[in-house]
Amino acid sequence: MKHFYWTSILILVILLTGCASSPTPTEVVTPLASATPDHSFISPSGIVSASANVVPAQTSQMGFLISAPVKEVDVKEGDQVKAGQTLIVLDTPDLSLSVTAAKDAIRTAQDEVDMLNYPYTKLFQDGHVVHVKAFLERREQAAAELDSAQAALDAAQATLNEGTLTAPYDGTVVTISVVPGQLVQPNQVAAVIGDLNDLQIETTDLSEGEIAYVKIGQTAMVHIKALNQDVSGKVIAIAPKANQYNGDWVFKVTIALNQQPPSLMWGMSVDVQIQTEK
Amino acid sequence: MDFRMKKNYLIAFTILTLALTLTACSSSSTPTAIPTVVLSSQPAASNTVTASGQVVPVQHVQLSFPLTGVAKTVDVKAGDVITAGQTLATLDTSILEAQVRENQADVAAAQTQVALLRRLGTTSQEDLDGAQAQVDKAQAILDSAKATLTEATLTAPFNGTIAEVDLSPAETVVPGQIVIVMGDLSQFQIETTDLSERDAPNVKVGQTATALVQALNQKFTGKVSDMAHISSTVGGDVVYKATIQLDTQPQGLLWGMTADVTIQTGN
Repeated sequence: MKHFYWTSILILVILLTGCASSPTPTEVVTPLASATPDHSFISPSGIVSASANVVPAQTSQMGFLISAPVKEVDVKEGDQVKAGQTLIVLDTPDLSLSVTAAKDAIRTAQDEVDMLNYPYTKLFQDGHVVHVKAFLERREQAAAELDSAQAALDAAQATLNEGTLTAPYDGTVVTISVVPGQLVQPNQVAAVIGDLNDLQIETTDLSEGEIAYVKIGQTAMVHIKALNQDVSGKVIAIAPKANQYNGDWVFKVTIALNQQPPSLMWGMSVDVQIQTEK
Repeated sequence: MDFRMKKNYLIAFTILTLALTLTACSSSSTPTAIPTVVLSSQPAASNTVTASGQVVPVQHVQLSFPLTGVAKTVDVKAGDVITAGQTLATLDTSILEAQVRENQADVAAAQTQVALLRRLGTTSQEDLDGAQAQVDKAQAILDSAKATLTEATLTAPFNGTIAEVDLSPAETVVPGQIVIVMGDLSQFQIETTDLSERDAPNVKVGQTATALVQALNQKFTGKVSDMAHISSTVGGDVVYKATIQLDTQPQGLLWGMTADVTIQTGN
């Protein structure tokens, strides 16, 4: 009888553990189409809520087209820069030499033009009229070659300029990701600048069901979590195309703040409540 | 019943219970099939095929530069309505412009050389032909440089709306990098995303279909206007894309909204 007792317990244990250890079936649940619209996201007062991030209105991730070692980094992170200001210079002696060579070529071409210009009147006075036209063509040719040499210098200078990164607009240096001596590769991001005086709010999870209610010009309340502050703003843009976010199709809505709090920073997370028409 | 027999019964009972337990567990651990979307409470009729779909413009394009370069201007932003031929973004062209000027001067120099040889009149035909060939060569190089210069400007291929801009001034671009997405938002259609290979043979161009757009809670009618001839895979399943042309263009449709599509496949 004791055997039977123990066996029963054993069976019970196997029964319980056996099923528990079996993997829970993972089930992909496709939502069924509901006959009525899902109004759960929109409150009776017509407010649509979403999570959002603080982003600059304009930002550029800049890099070089050429591969060369960094010669100098003229700014540091946080610096305010003006449009056209030099940020990073690469060490490109080969490109500098090309410019020097192009300048020499111009001098040679200029000498040729000067030389062909000189005998023009002299030969004419000597009576070699038949040669005047021919020399005119030579002069035109020399002038064209000078033009070509000047354009080649412009090209060499422009190529040399590819080794210098300048600010495309007034802004703040957000990231510098290279140091002097480091070899940069084409298309590698070397610096990021942004216009931090013009920060905006971009929603991350506004679904396709909610977007139908949102219109440009609607008022939005923005709660900045980090500052525990509420700021008002306006919807200034709605993405015309959905993007996938955590498996959902969402539309990005951009909100301009009526007043930018001084300590607001790029990347802060905020909660947005958009006042829609009911 | 002696003890030995009793023990045998017990062993048999244990094995039976174990077997039952194991089979019960194994059946429950079999992955459940992904449920098919059913639009109504009734099971889908045998002469319909259902699939999930997405609202997309009939005409849309992902634009990129055919050149490597640095963005000089980005002239549009998402939401802008634009006309065909309008400039969307430009690359810095200082090198390309200088090259065009250089090549123009080279053409002029080659042409004067031909004119000079003709004037002298003592040049052999071979030398004249050679000089003329130099002109043609310089002209071809110039044409090529001009063509490259035009590639540094991205223009709209048709009237439409800018959907995405992934480029800022001073950023570098490489050929094939998508910088702007645009579409004609006046004409939308629905493309299925998970039409199974088992249903695909029944779907034919011209069949009627309905699309329920959940975001708008509206059902639209349409026709199958295109059926993919090659499969794609979604989550390990082989699927075929069917395109549904809508009978009317409803208000409020947005690019990327999801829809539940039912296609009448007939008998």
